[in-house]
Amino acid sequence: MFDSKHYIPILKWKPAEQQALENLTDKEKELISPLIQLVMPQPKLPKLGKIEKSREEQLEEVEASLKIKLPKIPEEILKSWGKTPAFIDFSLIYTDPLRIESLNQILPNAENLGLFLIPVVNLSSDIGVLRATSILAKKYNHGICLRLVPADFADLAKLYQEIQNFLMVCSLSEKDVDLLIDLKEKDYEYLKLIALSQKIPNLDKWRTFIFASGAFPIDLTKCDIGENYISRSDWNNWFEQMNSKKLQRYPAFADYTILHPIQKESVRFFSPSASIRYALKDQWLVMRGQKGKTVQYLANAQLLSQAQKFNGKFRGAGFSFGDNYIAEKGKDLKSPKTGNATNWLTAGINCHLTCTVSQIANLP
Amino acid sequence: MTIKIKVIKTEEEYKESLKLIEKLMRKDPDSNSEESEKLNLLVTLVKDYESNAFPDSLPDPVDAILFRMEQQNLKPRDLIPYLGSRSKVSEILTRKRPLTMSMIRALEAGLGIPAKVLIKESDEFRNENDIVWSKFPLKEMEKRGYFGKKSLTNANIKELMQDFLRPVGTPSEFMGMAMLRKSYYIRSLRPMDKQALTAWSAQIVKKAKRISYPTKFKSGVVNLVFMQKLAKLSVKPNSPLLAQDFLKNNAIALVIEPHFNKTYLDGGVIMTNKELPIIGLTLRYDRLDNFWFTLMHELAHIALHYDQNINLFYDDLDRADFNHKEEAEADYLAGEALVSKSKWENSPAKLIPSPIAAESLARELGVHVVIVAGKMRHEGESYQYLNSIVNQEKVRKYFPEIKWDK
Repeated sequence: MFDSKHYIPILKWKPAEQQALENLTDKEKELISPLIQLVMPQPKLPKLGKIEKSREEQLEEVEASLKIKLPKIPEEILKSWGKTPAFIDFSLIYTDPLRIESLNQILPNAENLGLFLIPVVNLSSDIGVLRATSILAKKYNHGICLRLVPADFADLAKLYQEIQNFLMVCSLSEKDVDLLIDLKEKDYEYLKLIALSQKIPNLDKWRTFIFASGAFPIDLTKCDIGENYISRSDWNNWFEQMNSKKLQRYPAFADYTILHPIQKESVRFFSPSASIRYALKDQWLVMRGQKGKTVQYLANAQLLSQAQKFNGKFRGAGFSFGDNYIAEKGKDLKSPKTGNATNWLTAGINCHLTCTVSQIANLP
Repeated sequence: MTIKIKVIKTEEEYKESLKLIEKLMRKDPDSNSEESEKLNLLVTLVKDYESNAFPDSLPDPVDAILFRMEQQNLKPRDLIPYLGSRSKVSEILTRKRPLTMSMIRALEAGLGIPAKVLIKESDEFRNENDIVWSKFPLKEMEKRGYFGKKSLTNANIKELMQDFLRPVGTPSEFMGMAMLRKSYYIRSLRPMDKQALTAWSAQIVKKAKRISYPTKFKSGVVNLVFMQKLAKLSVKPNSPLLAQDFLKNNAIALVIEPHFNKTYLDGGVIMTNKELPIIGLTLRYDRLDNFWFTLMHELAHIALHYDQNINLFYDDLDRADFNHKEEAEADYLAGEALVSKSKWENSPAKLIPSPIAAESLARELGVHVVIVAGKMRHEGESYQYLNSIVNQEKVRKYFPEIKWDK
């Protein structure tokens, strides 16, 4: 399906991520297969003067809310992404029955729309989920993705056995399965995990081989107001391995874009800082603003797109939707249309996706 | 009306006497009448009581008139109905002529300035014999070497002070210039010690006189363009010295002299010598942004207020002074010279207190980044912002000949 010169951004299925994907060009999409991570809706805030619902009541509420959303998800994916391959992960759905229900709703509907969705499972997935997934995978013939995490590598003999069990339960062979090793935030274990990954039996036979990690911090509290640089160690590690000439099989690159792999759900009443996250070649430039001061988005946008210091760093309005958004917003500091947190996250993710695709496309 | 006049001994008698003065004033007695005599006598007795009971509690009468003029936005010519003529107004405001009873009555009735304020003698600097030399910050002056090799121990303080002041004029001349006879303005929310201010002023004049200037000062040379040109020197590593040189070449003295306790002074400008305006800076805050703003503020006084009513300005710039037109004008022009309003309004620096925003605007303006950072801190009404920038550039180090307090 694809080799190591391919990009798998892992994205929660939320408005900013959807819009960031939607605003990629077809050419950029050719080098990308996003991994869509479905997430539970947030419980509604209690009305003024009303008591907050109990946890059980909230769970019922969000489950009901997800069920209402499920039929629309394939259409959302079609609109934002299109019909080229994308992975879809149900593991953040709260319960196994709901996961199975989601699988059974989304995958058939997606197929009817002509989508190419590859379900993602992991070794700890419930047997019912595994079975439901494998049935659909075989039916639609799009394969399946096995997502391994660092804990799976604690006992290699056990890991190899579990992989064999997984293939057996799903009645699949390696050539039907995309193997994704996901370090999540444990970037510091990159070298160890990539070495261990090379020992996985029949590594060359898996349909694709992907290595994921995320280096973006969980929040910006360590950033000062203004200009900050954070190493894109996820990309730098991968790039170093690609040039190492030591690997039996080179993985495709996967990351969590400009978000932390274990991102907390939004805290209620949380007012995000008016910050811009901008991907550079091997760093992120974070133009940090203050909480709640949305006009600072415009100030940061003007600085990023116009300040002499960023000549050569800012790629120009024509580079991507996100770059264009930054340049446009930077033109008028007095505009009442400052953009909100979702708009700016969209721009930041889009810039990151475009930057990364460009880097991969230009690999030797 | 039968009035019993006697020496005032108690506060009650004092209040009673004030009421009587008011009553008599309302009657506006003829100058040769018995009532007028009684009025004069009462005033003398009240003055006598006040000088013993609360000598410093009332403002100087001319200060009170100037304050009321400021409040009511009055020009000197508006005082002619109360004081008699243009020349009398001028003499009163420059403390060359005392107020008469008829003037006091007219000012109380017309401008609402209490008679008890107007009848107060002007302060001690009026008469050299009244000067209390021990009120000067003598120890600090000695520590700074104001008295040369002479020591306070066993010295005649009066002689020591007279020697100190001699190069700038006789004591009464200089102190009159500094504090009485010429019009001056002190910008501060806190009371400033006039003796300390006088000592500081004398020292900066003495220092300024020691400098040789290649030319004579030309009125009108200081304007916005001049100030903007000067501001661009701020990017150079030793900009305070370059500024001093630049001003010297235009016959403007820039003298550095630390402030005294109880003066809270950032800077001042003395424009009494028309051939040599003198700017004194105290470097009370050892920061480059303060240096440049204070310098520009004092230059703005030269640009805007040279040869006008006020020719001495003492500035504590910790707070804005919205009540005084000249101060607001000087703040504005200083701001324009450093970070013009049009640039500021359209800059990210106005919106976000980030170092890069400061740096970007500074580069655009061609001034040092601390100037923009200082403006951002001031406008944002938070002095926590951008500490790392504004605290990194010190100024006192350029003046090692001064013994700075640690």
